[in-house]
Amino acid sequence: MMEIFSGVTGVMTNPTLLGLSLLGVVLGLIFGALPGISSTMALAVMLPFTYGMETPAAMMLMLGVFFASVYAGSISAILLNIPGTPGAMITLLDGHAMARSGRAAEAMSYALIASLFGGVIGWVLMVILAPTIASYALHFGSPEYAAVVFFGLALVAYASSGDTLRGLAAGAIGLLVGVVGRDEISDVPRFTFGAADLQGGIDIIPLAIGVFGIAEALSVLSRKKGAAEPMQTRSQRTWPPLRDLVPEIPTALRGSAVGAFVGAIPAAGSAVAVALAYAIEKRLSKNPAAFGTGLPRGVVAPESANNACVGGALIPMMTLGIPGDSITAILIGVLLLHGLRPGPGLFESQPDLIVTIYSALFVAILLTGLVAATIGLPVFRRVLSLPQRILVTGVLLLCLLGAFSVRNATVDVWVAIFFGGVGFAFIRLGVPVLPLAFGAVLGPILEENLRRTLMIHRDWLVFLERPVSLALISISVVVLVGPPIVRLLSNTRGRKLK
Amino acid sequence: MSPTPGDPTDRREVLNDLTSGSICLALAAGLAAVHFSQAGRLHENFGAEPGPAMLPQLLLCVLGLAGLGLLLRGLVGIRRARGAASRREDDGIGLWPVVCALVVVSLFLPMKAAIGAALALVAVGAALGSLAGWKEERPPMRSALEGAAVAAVLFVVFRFMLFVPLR
Repeated sequence: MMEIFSGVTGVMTNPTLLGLSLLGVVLGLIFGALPGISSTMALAVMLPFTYGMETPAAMMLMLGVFFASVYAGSISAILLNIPGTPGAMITLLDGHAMARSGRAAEAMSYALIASLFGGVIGWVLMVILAPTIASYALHFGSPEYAAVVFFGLALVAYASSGDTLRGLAAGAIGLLVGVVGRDEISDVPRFTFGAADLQGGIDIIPLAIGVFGIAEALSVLSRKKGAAEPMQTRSQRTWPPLRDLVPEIPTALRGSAVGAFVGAIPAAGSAVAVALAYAIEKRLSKNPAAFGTGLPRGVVAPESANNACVGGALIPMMTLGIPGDSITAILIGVLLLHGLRPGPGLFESQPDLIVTIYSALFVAILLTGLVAATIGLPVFRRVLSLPQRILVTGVLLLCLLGAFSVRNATVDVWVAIFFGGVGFAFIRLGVPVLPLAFGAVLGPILEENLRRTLMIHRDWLVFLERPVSLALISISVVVLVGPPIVRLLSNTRGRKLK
Repeated sequence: MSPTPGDPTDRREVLNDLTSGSICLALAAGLAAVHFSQAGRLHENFGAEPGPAMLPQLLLCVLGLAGLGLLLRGLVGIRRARGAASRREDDGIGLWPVVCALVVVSLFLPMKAAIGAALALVAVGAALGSLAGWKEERPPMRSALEGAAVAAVLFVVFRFMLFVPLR
């Protein structure tokens, strides 16, 4: 522990390392706040700049970009209803609702505080429990992965608080979107309609830009003339008072623990973690119906989980050499570029580097808080003081450019426009869009693990024979079936009483 | 308080159920036709090992069932609402700005190929600006200029600061 403390102090007193971390944080905040520029892309853009750097300097820069961009994904979700990353898709439920009621700055403050809290808890768990968490994650086989994804989908259906049947339909459509393209195992095309551009599948970011960003802008345009309800811009306050923050501490703690543990499971990622954190808070709340209407707790839970995932995701990367997602795959690339192979051997052969990585992440968390609080929030909150016509025009143009930037491919722009229309239709018909987006994210992971399980075990009962998958499936069924049954019973009782 | 049969919210929900149910059924049927008409290895060894056709078929069933459920619920709702679900509160005419916006954003790529990304983005920005300005009863020319300015700023940010190859 003393080594880590001296490592952090060493970084803080080294102007070069501190400057690189600060640069990474500033770039991460800018990249992350722009729709379409994901954390992965931000890291990929920065990768060539690390070629000539020493390993510690490269990690300072990259971890600064990583943490800040993960936090900044919440900014576009709150302000524009466009999640920059799958991890920010739940944040927009309450975050954007707060923004619409004139509490955008407060929502961003809650998101920042929760992100820093989650980041620190995730970091502490990474430092203390890395080997333990890594060994638990290693016991996950394909049945457990499939069950985790199913669990995640059930949680989204619960969290999105829409009608169960409509949510089911939206989730099925999302999962079908996820299977578009060439199958990863057999290389057979599915639902590509002969289009070469669809062979690689549909990227989730343009889809999210469409169903959330374009659809929201279109629904503003569809309001009657004069009845246009502009976003209230005069916020009462930026920082919530301490008495409002204290009750959120247990929420942030639960969210952070969920984020760190789920983040450590390779491929499960932040999407499942944020859905789980949100669902837990909704379940524990005395007023679950208030979720989605602009509740600070609805921002704190997913944001603490999302940022705790950063520490969680680094655990399998460092201890086992397994990239949990595309972001950690790039970080592994950085280490490999410098002749280092992450894995158990790294702890023995390069203990100084491990301390540097721990220190780099901690400094990145501190600097993200500092930069976002002093410069980020005042700048970002001005976005909402723009007239609505400029905001709508800006959002639609940003969506086009953001979708194009994902892979510099025109097909992504068409995907965003198409799903913008679909999302608008969903809003008009009262169908929740969240299961659609999550279905598209989790569909490919579900299919891969489901098929792998059935190929190996040749029996569906395997899911019920393994304790972890049995527990996850049982909870999922309760989450899906429980609320409609309770509603039905209370309706029947109400009719009898009448 | 539960909505009464004549309640417009209830009527809208009934219509939403009918519409979304019909769309789901049509989508499931259409995609099933595409899926089952596909030749090649898609349907090989389906029974022997779970092939690439398994999940799509499972999902098409779920979508079809959800659509059927929504449609049935809508039909039951019609009976309960005593036929009041025949008219929507707001008709399709109010949707023209949405259709226009979708057409304008769809023109971006063809225009980009024809006149370049910068000019295409400025033109799309001007059109969207005047459309959004119309809702606020602003002079169209001024709104168009504002939209064009927003587009120009965003182009500079993406092209020269984020190095996105917009040409």
